[in-house]
Amino acid sequence: MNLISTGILTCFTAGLFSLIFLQRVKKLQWIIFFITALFMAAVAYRLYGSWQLTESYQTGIFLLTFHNGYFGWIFFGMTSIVTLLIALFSLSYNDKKHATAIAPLWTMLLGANAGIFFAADWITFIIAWEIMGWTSFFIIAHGKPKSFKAGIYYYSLSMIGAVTLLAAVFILYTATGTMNISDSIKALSGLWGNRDGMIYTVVTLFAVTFFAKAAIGPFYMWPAKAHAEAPDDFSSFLSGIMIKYGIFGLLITIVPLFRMNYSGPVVWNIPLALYLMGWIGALTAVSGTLLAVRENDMKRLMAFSTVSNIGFITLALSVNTVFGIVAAVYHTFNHMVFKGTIFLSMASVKFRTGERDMHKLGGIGYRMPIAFFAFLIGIISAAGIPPMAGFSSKWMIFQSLFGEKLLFLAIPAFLASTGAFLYLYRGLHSIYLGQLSPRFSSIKPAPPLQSITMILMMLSIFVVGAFPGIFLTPIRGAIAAFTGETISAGFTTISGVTANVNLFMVSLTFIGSFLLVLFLYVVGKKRRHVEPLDSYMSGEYPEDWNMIPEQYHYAFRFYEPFEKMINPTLERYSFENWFENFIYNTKRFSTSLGRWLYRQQLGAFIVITALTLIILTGVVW
Amino acid sequence: MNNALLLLAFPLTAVFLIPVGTVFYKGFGRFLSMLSYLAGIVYGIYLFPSILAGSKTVIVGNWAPPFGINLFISPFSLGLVILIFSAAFIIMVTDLQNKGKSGQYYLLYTLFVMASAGMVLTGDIFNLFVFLEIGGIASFALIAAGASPMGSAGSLRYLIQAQITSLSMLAGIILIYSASGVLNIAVLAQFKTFNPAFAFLALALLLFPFMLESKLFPLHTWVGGAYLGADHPFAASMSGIAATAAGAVMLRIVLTLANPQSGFGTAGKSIQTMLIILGGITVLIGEGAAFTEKNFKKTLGYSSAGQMGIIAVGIGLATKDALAGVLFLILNHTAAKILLFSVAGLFSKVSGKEKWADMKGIGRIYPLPAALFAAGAMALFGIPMFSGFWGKLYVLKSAFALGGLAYAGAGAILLGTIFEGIYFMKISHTFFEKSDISLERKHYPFFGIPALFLAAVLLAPGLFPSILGPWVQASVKELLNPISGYVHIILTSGGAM
Repeated sequence: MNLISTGILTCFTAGLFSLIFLQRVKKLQWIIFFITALFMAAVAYRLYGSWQLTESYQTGIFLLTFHNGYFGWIFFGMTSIVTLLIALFSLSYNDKKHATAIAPLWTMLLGANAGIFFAADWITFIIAWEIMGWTSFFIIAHGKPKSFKAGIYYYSLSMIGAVTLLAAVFILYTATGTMNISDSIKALSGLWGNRDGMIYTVVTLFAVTFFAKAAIGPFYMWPAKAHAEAPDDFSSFLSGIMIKYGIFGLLITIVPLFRMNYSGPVVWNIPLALYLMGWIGALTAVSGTLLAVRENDMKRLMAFSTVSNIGFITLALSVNTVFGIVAAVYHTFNHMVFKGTIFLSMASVKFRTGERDMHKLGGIGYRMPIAFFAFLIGIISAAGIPPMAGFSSKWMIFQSLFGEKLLFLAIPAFLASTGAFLYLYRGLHSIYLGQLSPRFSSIKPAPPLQSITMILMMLSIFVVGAFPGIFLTPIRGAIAAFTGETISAGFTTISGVTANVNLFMVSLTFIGSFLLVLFLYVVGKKRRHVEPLDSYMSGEYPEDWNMIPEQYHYAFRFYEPFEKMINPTLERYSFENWFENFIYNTKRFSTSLGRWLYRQQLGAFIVITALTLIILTGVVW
Repeated sequence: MNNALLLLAFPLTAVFLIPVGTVFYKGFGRFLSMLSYLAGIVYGIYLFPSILAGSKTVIVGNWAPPFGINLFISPFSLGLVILIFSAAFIIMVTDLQNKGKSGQYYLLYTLFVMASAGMVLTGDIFNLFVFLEIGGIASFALIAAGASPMGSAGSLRYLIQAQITSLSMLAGIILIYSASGVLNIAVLAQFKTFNPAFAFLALALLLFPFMLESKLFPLHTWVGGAYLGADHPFAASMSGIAATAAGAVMLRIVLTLANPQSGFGTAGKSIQTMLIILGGITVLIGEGAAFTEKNFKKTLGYSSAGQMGIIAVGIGLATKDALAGVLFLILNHTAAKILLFSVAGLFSKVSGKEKWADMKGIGRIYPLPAALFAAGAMALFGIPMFSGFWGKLYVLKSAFALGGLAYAGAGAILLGTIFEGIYFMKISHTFFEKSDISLERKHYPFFGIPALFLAAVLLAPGLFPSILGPWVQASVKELLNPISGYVHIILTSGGAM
């Protein structure tokens, strides 16, 4: 049975069906989307183990091939589960008031998702990649002028990426004569030492494609626009899953290329190009953090946080050891879960309040406890604090750096990791803690389906935090199938160069101390409940200062001194400005082309000139 | 009765009968011209299987080449003639709700279609020139018939440039005739050696009007005015029919007439190099100009220039892959442009606006046309699942395999694709944007069916490229082996019908 192609076809058929016939019944579109997500998860389940499965289709020009490799499967399985959870959330999110028309396109996007991970040849990969590009563009833009601006920004970068992908693939194909992804990379690595220039061209082109998708380096700015303006439930998918396509692309192209037969210059035992990529990753992590700290818009803040995390993953990939790759994939999956959770929690808040600016929120945690806890657990994981899953993957990334003695790269990584506390706390404080605005004093908690999703995701962060083997065992298996090497790790322990950590014990310690505090709280003296308004007035009467209760919530310009410190630097070295100038100049150039080069008055003159030139060429020759 | 001359005779008869019939019935012109295209399509499809088995030549009036005129009916030419007739027929169908066009309009239009088909079929350079002139004059009048204030200005400029270039073609014909004494393509294809400079000059002069028709740099300046002036159906025809014919003639001249064994020697290679360079520049300036253009028709016109640039690069590369790509692209461009222009026509009719930026939210009232526009646009810039994807893929594959100058051509195509993708997505999304536009939704039955058919034409070869396989393979084989195919069939007259 052709399970992969059946799955992909189902996605497209279901998507097209609901696009054409179900425009009037939005609810049904979302149910179809959920069922498709469920079906894809079932496909993922059924595909486990059959690693020899290959399906090919002769189109008459190229052979399209899907292959169920362990490595592609693990990405597919992971994304399918997270998608299913998000789909469950979307079912409840898209009620009459909030429904968008994106469900059919999203259903198709699920097919492209599977296509990217299962593609065995480049043409299939390109097809899936481009379908992913245009469907996600329409989803992000979803008919709103402001979102459209973000969407076209995203799509411009996507187009650049798609085009460099085409160029890279054809140079690769010309050099190696095969369209098979793993074979062509293997064959290309055989040319190290002979045709380095060509290989570096291919590497650069691939890097542009996958950096653009994953928002690494100069492309750091699109998530802030696209994540923020996309429909709220889709932001979770965008940040959790779609951005990882770039990481997957790097994993199947550049990473293996430098592991085989490489004979060029090395820096600290790392190929020079990968070392540069490491620095790009480190700087991405730092700049993502610094930019996130400045944000007042909660979705933009978390978008920059995603950029920062992608920087970490890139850093781990560039270490060029199996340990580094495992750490990178592990962090990718952890990020999928915790960033998904955070975005879902924020979507819930926006569902109830309709606000995205954090200074207008505050104290929401009192009204929406489950969303609050989801956010809290998510950011603990994002910050890399022990009992949650994020700790182990961040720890492994640092261990991979220490293992290769890359201390200079570790410094910016530590800076970014610590800086993450700043913006994560800013989010927690500004949205969920502090003064509850009277506007939102009567909002209801998140609806049941949304709560269930968030609880499930919270639980998974907890459980993976205590038992990293849940993720690490399959990842190790997949990496072993992919690179032929593996690393040692137990079900509850992770081991690096400096230490072994038993995360189960760590979790027990944390739970124990939590229980201890809870015990003291329960047996302690009865406490008086203090209203937030009561707490930080320092004996003053706020009315004397012309303050209204809404302004008590301190969230606007949360880190103003810090912002003042970093703003000049960030503004001076802003690729965003550079890119916007570039777009502006392209538009000017384009307008002048239309005005000047297509000026009809010039027409006859140009024709005659061209004619004369041709005749002159003929006569002079 | 099995005479392929009928392919040209049907429209020509219609041309003669239209003025007579219009006296009695006002709609006669439209009726008869559509009937003649339909006859052409049916007869072409009837001939197709036998032609696929072996190409034939039609010797007009029993004057054997090189003295008489002959038509060459091959999978390549017959396929494109069917494409041209189908394009004309579909354009007429989409235009059905538009009443009030005079009999002369249909007369000229049928003449234009006949000339385009004739250019593809003919095997004689002077005959080619005659068809070109007929088509050029008809186009000039048809652009002006758009009845917009810009129509006459655009058409006059087009006329001046078209006349200069067709004069240059005449000069080229004179040069060739003075040196060889023959004008038959098959004879010239194996003629004694010309002087290289002379050969290049003659070929370039010969190609000039077709570069103008396909909007290649530096002969692209008429695009803005002419597209602005023409009404939507004829703008679609300029993209879909005239450009297709011009592409076919360029293929014929570059690959058959100037094949390496011919007297033109290496001049053919120089012309190919020139086409790669000019095609690359055309892609960049065409897509670049369309990038910020707000007028709907002009945007589509510039985009058409860009597409023809890609086709020119493909012709310049002239490998098996590149030519297959070119054939895919020609089909794709014709179908997609007709679709886009018909949507543009519908939308400017219902909204009364000329700029696409003013049509915000119209897709929420007319979802099907707007969705079909998005599909056509994606076919044009080469999104997978549409035929344009395979076309572009094949041209690129060939360009990267050849290397050298072809890299520059590939770079231009890729860069142009970025622009193309962005502005087409912009336009497609604009239709679906939320806005306070309030239009009454009317039904246009003559829009939906042809538009859906065109979308299917775009989609089918995209999903199953193998359905075009026999035609593409036969055509590429014919174009790449001119001596054993084209020349042999015509000169031995063994393949006479």
